[in-house]
Amino acid sequence: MAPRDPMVSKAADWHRPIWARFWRDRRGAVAVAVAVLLPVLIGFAGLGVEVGWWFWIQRQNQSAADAAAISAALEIAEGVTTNASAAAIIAANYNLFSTSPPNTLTVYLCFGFKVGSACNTSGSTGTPNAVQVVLTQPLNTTFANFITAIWGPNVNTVTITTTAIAGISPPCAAPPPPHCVYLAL
Amino acid sequence: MRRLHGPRDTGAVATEFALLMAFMPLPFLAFGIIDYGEVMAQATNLTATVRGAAEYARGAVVEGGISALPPGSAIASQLNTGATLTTASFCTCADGTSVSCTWTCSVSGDTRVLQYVAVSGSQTFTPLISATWSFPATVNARTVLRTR
Repeated sequence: MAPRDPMVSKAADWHRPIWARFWRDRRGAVAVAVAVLLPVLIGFAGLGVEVGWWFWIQRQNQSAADAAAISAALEIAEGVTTNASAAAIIAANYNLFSTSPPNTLTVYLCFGFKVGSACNTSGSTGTPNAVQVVLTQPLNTTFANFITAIWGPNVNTVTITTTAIAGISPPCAAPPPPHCVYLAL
Repeated sequence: MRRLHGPRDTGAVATEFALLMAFMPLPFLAFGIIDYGEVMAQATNLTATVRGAAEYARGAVVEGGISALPPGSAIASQLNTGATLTTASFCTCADGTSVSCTWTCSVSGDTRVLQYVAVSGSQTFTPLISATWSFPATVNARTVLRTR
């Protein structure tokens, strides 16, 4: 078998067209392979980093949602139901959650709440005995956007949603007795 | 003998790949991701620790008043964490303006003073390639909970 010296094989096919010679030229083949594979490697590494970041934001927002629910529940326990949303917003802001758009903070009053059950917002009788706070924060995606665009509609935003419920166990005269307000979820 | 002295390209691809990798950002990418993962793990752990500490501090203050607010070091030893914790409290009126805790507010007839406890935590982080990436040298977290 003839030695595979690149210069020899190069000289042997000098008469071929330039694209055929480029195709047959073995020099630098690994560089080409790496150049093709590197965007894929960086893309998936970046996706891993990005998804980790989403979960971290979710953890931070969970603390903010809990604090907001406790604060809103205290307002109801102290008989100032109209101020529940304002108190929730202040508490969320203290915990590094920005309530300016596109982020949202919604306060739901729960009636007949029991630990382990969902928040029933359409109760008819009595006063609410729990407060549910829902935070949403849309995040713009970078790597997830590129990678999902490969096979279908690209995901250019991911919405981080966190929920917290704070219960109120009556009697809750102002100032509330210890543990009148408890974190239920 | 011909195999020893003649031209051979066995292993050339591996050599070429190794040379390319030496000049490529891939090793930095790999170590950078390890560092990033470590920062994320520590930040998540610290956030959870500070959250627990804040609920502990809130419970203590709700039971025993603001004088019962435990120092951060006491909570840190309770939670068996290496992070440095600090506790503080502050008061606001219903509209969020900061006031002294002995103040009497007046926000459209609302005279209440709202009291909060704040727990901050920090711990140092040593990245593998600190000279290349400017990761934060400390990881921080803070939780604020209302007590009344």
